[in-house]
Amino acid sequence: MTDDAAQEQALVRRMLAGEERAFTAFFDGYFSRLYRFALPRLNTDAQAAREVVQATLTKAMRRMADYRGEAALFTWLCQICRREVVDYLRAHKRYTERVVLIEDSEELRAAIDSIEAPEEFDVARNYGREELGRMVRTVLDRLPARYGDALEWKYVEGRSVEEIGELLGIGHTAAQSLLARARDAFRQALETVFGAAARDIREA
Amino acid sequence: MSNAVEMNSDHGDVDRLLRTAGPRPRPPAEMEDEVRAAIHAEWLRVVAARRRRRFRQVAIAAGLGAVALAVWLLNQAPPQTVVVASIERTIGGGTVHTAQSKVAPFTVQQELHAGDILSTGAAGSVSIRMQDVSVRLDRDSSVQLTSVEELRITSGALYVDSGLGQDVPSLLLVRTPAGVVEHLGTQYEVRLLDSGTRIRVREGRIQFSAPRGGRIVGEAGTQLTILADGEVHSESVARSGDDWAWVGRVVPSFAIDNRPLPEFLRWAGHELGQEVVFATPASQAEAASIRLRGSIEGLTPDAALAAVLSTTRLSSTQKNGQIVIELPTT
Repeated sequence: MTDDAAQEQALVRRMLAGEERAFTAFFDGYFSRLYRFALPRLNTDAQAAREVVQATLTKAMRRMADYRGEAALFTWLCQICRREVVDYLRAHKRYTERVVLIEDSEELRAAIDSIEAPEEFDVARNYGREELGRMVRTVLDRLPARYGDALEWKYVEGRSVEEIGELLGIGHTAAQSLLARARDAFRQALETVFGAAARDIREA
Repeated sequence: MSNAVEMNSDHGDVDRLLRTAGPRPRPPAEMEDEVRAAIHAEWLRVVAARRRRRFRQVAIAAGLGAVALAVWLLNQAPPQTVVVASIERTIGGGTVHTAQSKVAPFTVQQELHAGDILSTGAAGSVSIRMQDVSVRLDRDSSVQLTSVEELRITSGALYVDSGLGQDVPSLLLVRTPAGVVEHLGTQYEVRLLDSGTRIRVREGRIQFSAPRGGRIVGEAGTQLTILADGEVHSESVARSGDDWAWVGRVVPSFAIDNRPLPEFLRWAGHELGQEVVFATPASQAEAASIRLRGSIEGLTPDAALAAVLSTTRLSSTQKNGQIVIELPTT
């Protein structure tokens, strides 16, 4: 079992034991990512995304004792969320078409969910810059929350290592080390999702 | 050369890609707060249910020998007291002092027995159900449950709601140092003050009985103050507003999933002490056509009203004791 998987299982155990700090860590770590997962699948309707995410998290709370760590916690939440999206769209006839995202294709979903065995998938050559940007943001969301946040703070918001350390409650050296691990994880995730095209994308 | 420059030069690929992708969108803070409150309430319920199950499993695992011992102990123990109420919702915590002199923090769905004393702390409040009646305790308050139809307030304040649409409301007597309060289908607050006992009637009517036989009926919008020497002062009081805000913070849950919008509006009006009116027949027809999904768990009635209406074309304004439901003009 990886460190991340062990940490996620420990978080679930602490929540089931009623530890308030574990609930806060869970909500802070997953709510925004789940909202971003639901939003594009609901025609960017913010209220619909809120309803679906609330229903997803409610079900997750009720089934938390069944979580065995076979999939990453976020992947498990996304599986519940996908079903909630379908139910929502069925119940609200105003959506005439279900939104199907690139990452909802079977092969790409398997790559994103597993992040283990790289596959050939030439997304870069088939999709535009905007779609590629969205895919990169999706990859960020699939990393452990601290990695995704640290990379966004550093490279999108331009924060210093010191500031990132303060935000995460760790020292300068630990923040640098975390950023290095985050970059490795990000590159590895890109390889998994984009296969051989990952190098082209990074160097574009 | 600074660390930042060094890192960017080493990791230009990551830098370029993330800058191109841009920031990830964030959900609105208000939405996050509302969902957090709802999920937190669900989590607390799950944890409480799990603890109860675990307790039962441990009890079963104790085996037949323990059962025999328990039977023997039950024969030696005083008679089991009657369940008179259960806890529906808590904020900030508090304690139950049982008739067997055990003191423990109270939990959601806990059963309460005759003789139990329920107390809230400086940041706590609790909502309990006695038959069909909702009783809510403000902070720094204490009551003793004497039977399924009677309780005694010994400090602080409580609020009684005999229910929405109850043709024959359940009986509940509230004993105070000044006398007994009995509702006649209503919502009211009893608060113990240094100078005496104050009763505020929000809806319906109450009857106050003094120890020496005098009786007073208080109507909706009336405040009665019974002083230590038995003198009674009556004056009018607002039926909604800040004085009633604590009641909404500990409101028992109302399941909206698959319910028509007008049912929710009726509940919200009842909890806010205001009448719900529709600005036009069109707004009434629009409300009648909507069925709700989701949950308002953990939200105050005010926040729930705003959250639910935000998912529709309708809006509300509160004025002159009314909640006016409107459709935007086209």
